[in-house]
Amino acid sequence: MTLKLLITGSDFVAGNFNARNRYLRGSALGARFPISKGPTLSIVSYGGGNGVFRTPVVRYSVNGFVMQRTTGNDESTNHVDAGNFNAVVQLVKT
Amino acid sequence: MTVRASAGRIEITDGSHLVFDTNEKLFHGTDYVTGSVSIPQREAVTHGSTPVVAYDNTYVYNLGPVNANADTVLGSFYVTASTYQGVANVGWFAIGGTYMHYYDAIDSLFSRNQHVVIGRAQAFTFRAQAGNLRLEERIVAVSPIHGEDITVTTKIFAINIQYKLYVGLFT
Repeated sequence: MTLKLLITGSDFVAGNFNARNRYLRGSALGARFPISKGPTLSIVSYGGGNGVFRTPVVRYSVNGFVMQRTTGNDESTNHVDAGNFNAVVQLVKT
Repeated sequence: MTVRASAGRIEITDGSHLVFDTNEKLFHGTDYVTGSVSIPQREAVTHGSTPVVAYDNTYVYNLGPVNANADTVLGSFYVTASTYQGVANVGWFAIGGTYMHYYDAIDSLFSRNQHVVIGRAQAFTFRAQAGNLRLEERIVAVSPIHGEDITVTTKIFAINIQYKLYVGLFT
């Protein structure tokens, strides 16, 4: 007979659900890590006015952590715009 | 183990750890999808200082229908290629956001600090949207710029991506 429901002083099992397992629970309160719902990184094409020297500029942005390139070939003066991309995420805990 | 049910809310704990709460969302896998998709070779071409073929594209590969409300893709994928490049032929990777397959440094003769700026980049993202599972390829690529009367071609080789995906949503 297939087990459908078990409730004891230490266990709760209902079908595939088992209280001893740890499930991904979506919750902003006490969340431990984000799960993305799409891209976590954007690549935009950056170039000079003539469009010839175009290069990819990468911006990674997940749940407030951002890494991006903001300088061009000369690093110090030629600031580039990596865009304002931010990943759509679901904050989870187990 | 404690089960509490009151005021339309059920909570289940394992010891002191909350395992289930109907006020929270749980990941609900709606579709399990396996398969593979082939990505063609990309060739950026420059003649002298003029790009002949350059990429600033997003290509979409439709991988089939999934639950209309699904917006989250979990699982793993494996990249194979006949020629080693990027991280092909390495192993299975977990899916979570964007996978950067390839990038290299710019090699313009006019860069004061060469090899510090990404020259070409190719990235992939699995996503579920509007009832469709799809793979998005984002590529920006220009072949090296130079002043000579010659043609330079930069190749990002073709790959095949195998995937095993749990598609679903938090409900």
